[in-house]
Amino acid sequence: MHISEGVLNWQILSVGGCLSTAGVALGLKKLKNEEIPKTAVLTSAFFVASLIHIPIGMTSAHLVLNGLLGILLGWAAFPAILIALILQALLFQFGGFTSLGVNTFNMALPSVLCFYLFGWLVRSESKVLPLVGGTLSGALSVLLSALLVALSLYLSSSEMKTPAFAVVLTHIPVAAVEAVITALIVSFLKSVKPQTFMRREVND
Amino acid sequence: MIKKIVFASLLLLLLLLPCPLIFAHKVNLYVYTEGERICVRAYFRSGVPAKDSIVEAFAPDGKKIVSLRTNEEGECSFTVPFRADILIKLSAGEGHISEYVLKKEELPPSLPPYGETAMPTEPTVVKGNQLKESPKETNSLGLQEFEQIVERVVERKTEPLKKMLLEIKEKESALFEKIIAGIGLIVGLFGIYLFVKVKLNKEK
Repeated sequence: MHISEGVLNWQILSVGGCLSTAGVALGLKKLKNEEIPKTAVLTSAFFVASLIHIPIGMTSAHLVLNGLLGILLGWAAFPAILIALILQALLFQFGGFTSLGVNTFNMALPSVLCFYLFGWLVRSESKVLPLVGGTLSGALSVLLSALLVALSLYLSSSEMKTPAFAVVLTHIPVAAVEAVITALIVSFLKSVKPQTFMRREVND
Repeated sequence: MIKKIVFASLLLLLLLLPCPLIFAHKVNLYVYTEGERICVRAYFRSGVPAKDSIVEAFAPDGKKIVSLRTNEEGECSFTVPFRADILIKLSAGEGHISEYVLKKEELPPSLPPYGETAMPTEPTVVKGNQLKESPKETNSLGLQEFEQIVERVVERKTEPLKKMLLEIKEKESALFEKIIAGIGLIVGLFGIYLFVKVKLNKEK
């Protein structure tokens, strides 16, 4: 899911960069001091998740965990994902520095969407609804990210039609795996530390 | 409270599980056999040979067989008069210690097993790493000599392969170091962010 350097044209790169900058700014503004440690832990989880590869036919895809980041962090997923992607580019040469903006946007926008769509499910007191919320956000965030990656590839050059299609296709099984993992993590956190899901109103 | 402690210790365990012992200048020991000769090569992580380091070899019962120093290339070699698992210890000063157990299967089967020879035959020490030229005439080779030559050639040919495997192994351990470094950086960055934010708020 990491788009490398030199694949996209400058228009897409700059649009992605601007959108991500706005997202990161908003995320930092909404990030309360008490939420910073949680954000750091989830950033680390996102950073490591990309190293867990799942073999799919000829190729392999990796875990993303942006659904989990979304339902737990909301807009703070933007800065979290940006930092994780910078470190992945630095340490593992995943993606590239020019495509950082586009990559951040592609991963973080679905996270924020999941926060608004399924956040209330995860926060509910019921036993089943949080599981449903976790499953749906795990699956949807990965699929949406794959679609956004495909779209950025396709908009950059029409020759990218096949790779764009391949990205979506390979991420369908990843979405399934991610759905299960996110649901498991949500149910674990729900039973061990339900405060994690408490909604904190923005005060500044 | 107990729940909190369990959660914290689980997290800690998860973080620490893949963490190998990391030394600033880890010294590596590379041991291989050339016929009856046991060759030792010592080098630091950066590839710099560990010269003038003490190499000690021990018999299975803990008896010291030989003690010698590496040469300018960080190499030394010796022979043992028996076939047994040999513990080789390297000490490159300042606490850089490394150990390796040479399995008896790597020594030629023509050697008597340990204990049958009453150890009087002193181990011969050969400093440097040159192959001893066999003075035998090539047209009157006995089966045993022929075996020895084949063994020596195979060892020489497979040495680069062994080195390559070793390098791959090291790269893998470097991956874990990078993961730990990344997590540390993430936590640190968020910590600095929190610190600056709180400080700025106070000044206001």
